[in-house]
Amino acid sequence: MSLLARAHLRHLWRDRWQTLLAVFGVSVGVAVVLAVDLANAASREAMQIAQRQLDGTATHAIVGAGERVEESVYPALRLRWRQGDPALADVRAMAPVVTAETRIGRDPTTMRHPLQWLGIDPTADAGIRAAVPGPGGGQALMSEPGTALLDAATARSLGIDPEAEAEANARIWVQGAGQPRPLRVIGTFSLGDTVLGQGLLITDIATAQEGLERIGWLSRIDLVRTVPQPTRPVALLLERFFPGLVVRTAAGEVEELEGGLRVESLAERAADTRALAASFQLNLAALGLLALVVGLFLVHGTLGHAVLRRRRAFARLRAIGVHADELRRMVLAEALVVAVAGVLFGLLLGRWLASGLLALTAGTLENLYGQVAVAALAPDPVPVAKAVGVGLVATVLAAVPASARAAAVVPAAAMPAEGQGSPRRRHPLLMLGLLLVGALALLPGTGYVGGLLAVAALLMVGALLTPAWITALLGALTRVLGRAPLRWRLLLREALRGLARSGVAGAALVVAMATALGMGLMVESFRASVDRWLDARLAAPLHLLLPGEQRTAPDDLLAAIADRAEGYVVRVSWPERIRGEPVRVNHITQRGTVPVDLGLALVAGDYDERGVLLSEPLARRLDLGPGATLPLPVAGGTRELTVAGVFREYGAGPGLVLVPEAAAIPLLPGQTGIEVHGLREPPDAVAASLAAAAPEGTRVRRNDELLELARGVFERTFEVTAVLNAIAGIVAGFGLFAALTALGLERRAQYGILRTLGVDRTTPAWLNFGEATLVAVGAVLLSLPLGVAVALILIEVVNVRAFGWSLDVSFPPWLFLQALAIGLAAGWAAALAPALAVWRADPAVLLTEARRHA
Amino acid sequence: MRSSLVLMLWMSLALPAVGSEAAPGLDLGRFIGGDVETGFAVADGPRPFRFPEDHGAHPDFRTEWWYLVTHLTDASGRPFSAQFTLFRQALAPPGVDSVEPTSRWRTRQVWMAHVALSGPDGRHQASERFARGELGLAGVRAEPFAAWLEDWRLAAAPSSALFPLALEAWVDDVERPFRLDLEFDEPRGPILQGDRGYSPKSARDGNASYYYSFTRMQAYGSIELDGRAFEVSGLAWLDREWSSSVLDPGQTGWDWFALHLDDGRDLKVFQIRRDDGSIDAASAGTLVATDGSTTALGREDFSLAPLETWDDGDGGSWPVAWRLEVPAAGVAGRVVARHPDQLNRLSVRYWEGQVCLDGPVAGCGFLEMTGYGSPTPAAMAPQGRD
Repeated sequence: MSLLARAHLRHLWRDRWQTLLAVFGVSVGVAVVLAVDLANAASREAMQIAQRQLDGTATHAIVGAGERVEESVYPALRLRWRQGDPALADVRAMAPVVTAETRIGRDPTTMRHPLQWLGIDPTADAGIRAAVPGPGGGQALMSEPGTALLDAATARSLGIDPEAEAEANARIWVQGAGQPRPLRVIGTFSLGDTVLGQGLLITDIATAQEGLERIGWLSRIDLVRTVPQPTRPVALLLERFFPGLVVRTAAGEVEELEGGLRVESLAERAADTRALAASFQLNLAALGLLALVVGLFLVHGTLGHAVLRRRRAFARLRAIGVHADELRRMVLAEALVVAVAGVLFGLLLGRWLASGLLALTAGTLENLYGQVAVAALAPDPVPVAKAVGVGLVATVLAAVPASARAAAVVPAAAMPAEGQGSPRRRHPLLMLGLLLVGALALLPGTGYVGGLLAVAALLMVGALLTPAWITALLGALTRVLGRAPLRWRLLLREALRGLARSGVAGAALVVAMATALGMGLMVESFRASVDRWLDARLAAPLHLLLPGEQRTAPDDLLAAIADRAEGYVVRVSWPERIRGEPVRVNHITQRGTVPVDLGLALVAGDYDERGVLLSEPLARRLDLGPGATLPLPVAGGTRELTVAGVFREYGAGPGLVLVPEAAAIPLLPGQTGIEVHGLREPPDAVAASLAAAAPEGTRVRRNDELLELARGVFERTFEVTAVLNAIAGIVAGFGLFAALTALGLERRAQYGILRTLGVDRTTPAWLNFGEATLVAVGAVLLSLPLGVAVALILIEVVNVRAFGWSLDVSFPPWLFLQALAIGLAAGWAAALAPALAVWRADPAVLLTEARRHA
Repeated sequence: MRSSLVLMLWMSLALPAVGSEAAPGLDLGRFIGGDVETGFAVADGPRPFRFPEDHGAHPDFRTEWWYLVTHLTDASGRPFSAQFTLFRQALAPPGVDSVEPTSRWRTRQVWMAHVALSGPDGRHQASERFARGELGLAGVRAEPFAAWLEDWRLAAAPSSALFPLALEAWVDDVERPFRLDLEFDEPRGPILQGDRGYSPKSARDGNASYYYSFTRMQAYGSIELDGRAFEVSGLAWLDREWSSSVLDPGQTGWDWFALHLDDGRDLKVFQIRRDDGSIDAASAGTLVATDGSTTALGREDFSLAPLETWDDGDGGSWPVAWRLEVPAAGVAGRVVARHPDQLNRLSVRYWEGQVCLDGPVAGCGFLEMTGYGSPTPAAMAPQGRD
């Protein structure tokens, strides 16, 4: 073994705790990156599996207004196809579908499991969907009303053992239109190991029409066409490497057929679903990278300091003829050892973390998008390769400054370590460049990725600024405390000298704290905005949801409402697609003796008797503002409606189009809800009498119940975010701990001298502790404005661009106090052990150790 | 006879759904057990036939078919043979409709159609379709007669009640698309098969069908193949059969011959093979004289012996040359397939193709064989155009 290699190994061993900390930093970073990717990949994979089961080999679908097609269209179209209609020349198969999202349970009172109800015709569907039996096997489905096939995962979650003979013909309850109705499960099929997304229930099309009260209607007619589908290998690869990215092909050509029907590409429809989940996954991915960045501060700090400490050794090596490049390579090799160890451990940790994260993600998806989640991680080489690559490269890159410093050691130099690597080294050009990059990233057209890039640039500037900022702070304190007792002045000087090491730890703390604060402020603003929105939206004291689908509410129910309330709003809503965007059309009828408030916060335009109102995210996606024309598909064609205004909306799911009664569009059967305003009797009394007057299956809800429900969903959504934030914070805390421990070790000689001079044992411990406090306070003070800036970018840029919603800025003071407290607590927690070690140590030991160390 | 074919078809169609998971509701025992499911009408003895009503569907019986085969030549003697079959299968006995049958898709009947063509070069092509019995995509009407699945249609020509019959079928989900545009007239029949149209299929009670045929029709029209139209003429045979019975468990397959003899008579014989290698006693035949009078043939009245087999490449070995002797009809000769490969590679494999008889009385007609190969190909051909 060469002399250099031995020196190198000896160093790694002698500073094994430092080395371990660096390894730990890399590990946590790699683990979080990997875990986020694995969890995202698993959920994406599960969604794709579900989509494949749903679509089978179908490439296109014929849909009509309101996402429905009159059933008589199907046989006519099928005959035209068979007879060689040129318009259908590239169709290889055609199958009718009746489908809806619904819930099922083992008994009618617990309808918990959301799933997709797919009604098919086995005689037409064979060969399209793998789970659909052929006409022979499908005969029980066809001949016996109320029979169903259920995916095995959902079956298991309902306590039905797919393998057990005894469970055949298990009875389940499904929320059709109106009252829950029983179905008999006569078989199961597999969706694969991972079901994160919706479960699937397959029945005959007749059973679906009857259960969903869609008599006479199809949801769509699926087509298998030979027309080449846009193959998207590059796009798919990009999406896998960059979770949260959804590469859309040019808006799929929508072919118009007669009678208001149109042919849509199923791949395009699937992209909408992906986009919905992707913006959520992006947040996770960004947080994963943040954890890695914070981890890299550990590497940077540890290696940087290792070089400082070995300056004498390096100088000697240079003096005996070792070339500067060899020293550079040696430091980089050390980094590589740290990187390999960190990555290996990180992979194990990441795999473990991913399971937990996936469970959280699943919970969020279930709450946000109402999807069943039976999650399992699949081995996927892409995220692993990415984590390994990112971990190795980033670690080695983090060591570059340290290696450059090692190479710069002149042979004769044997200057004391701490003065070197000046904490006052600033990088004005780098910071300026980063600020420029951040500003450019905010330019319009860069999407929400641009916003996140700006946040990253800002955080890096903050990190670079940290040593200089703390130096300035300490300088100011020195001036203020010019006449303070010696131990104060001593503390300030020591803190200043220790910045070479603690500065990097402080920077890590700044990044972690600023992110946590920024996210916290954003979440708080979001929460406040959602609260206000919910309060307005659910202002009506009573809400009725009628069962089934209809075009109007029953007259006798409306009469009963008019007797007991000042006014009401009837909303009939149905799904639709406008320029490929999934929307929900809400037809609004207002009645009452007092003008009824729709509870909308308009961000643009105004109410207009005949104009439609668009939800903000939809208006942004369609790029439509007040005065623009909205092409709304209606039965038999398209109606051009004028946009009157844009209102705030934070709901997940399709965009909203509010159509007033005066617009006089033909209504489609849809979900019907009634908001009851101005009750003339106590709410409970009105609720009871309306429940009696309403059709069976009507849900009557008080607004306080609904508010509670909605807020619960919101809280769950941000659970994952909080967990990742905490991980980044913990890593930063470890960084500070590492820096302070190292400082303590380095100062042992000094502390030994102080002790032999008669200073009591508390002083060195106090110095160590006080230094931690100063660095922590400095870091937190810098992280406060930085966090505000991060929050502003997240609110004003990222949220608007990613989700299309604007938030009211709401920065509660307690959040800042909380950040201050957490930062100080982290500093103190990190400083406690090193300070105690110094306090306990014997002066003689301190001195001898220090000499050996040098 | 072909009831067994229908049942095998339905059974096999169920298999892909079984897969590795639980079978979705198909009770194979209901089929194989041999018991007639309660609720269906049963062929339990001779009955009076009424026409035209009996040309239509008998929905209270479980299975029924309209089975037409024809062999033709064009002006220069190029041979063609074609098949059109419409199968009806009742999914449930009558009278068990649900309480709220409001969906128009709620059906008790499922239809399946097969169309096949062998051209002059011996290439055999076949296609199949399915439809449920609602929404008008498939069905049968007694008068004026029409049997259709989508645009495949066998129907009385305009302004006639039954004959001339016209067949229209355009098949483009095969390698070489083809179109059948044929008419059939001057029928011999209806010929009541078995005992006055009652045709037992095994010794068990109720394992029987009602069965009549038009054994000989003049066929003419055009066949389009590879973009070329051929004017053709020849002979055709139409079988009509309905039943609710099923095969005995020991019955493994059958060989069914329908021959137009050159002397003007028509001969049908079939044998049912058992898993012990024996021939079932229910095997039988019918000799139809030129005046339409019939002679029933019992198991002992004819003999069949395979001479040559053809390997279908998937492990099936099909006898494509036979020794047939029917002493009472003066028939003793070889029955040889015009082309060995006339295998219908559909959801279930069966051999249905043109054969010719030599010997003292010659003739041509059709042979149907089942049970010589794997009944279900590993991969089911999806329907639709390919």
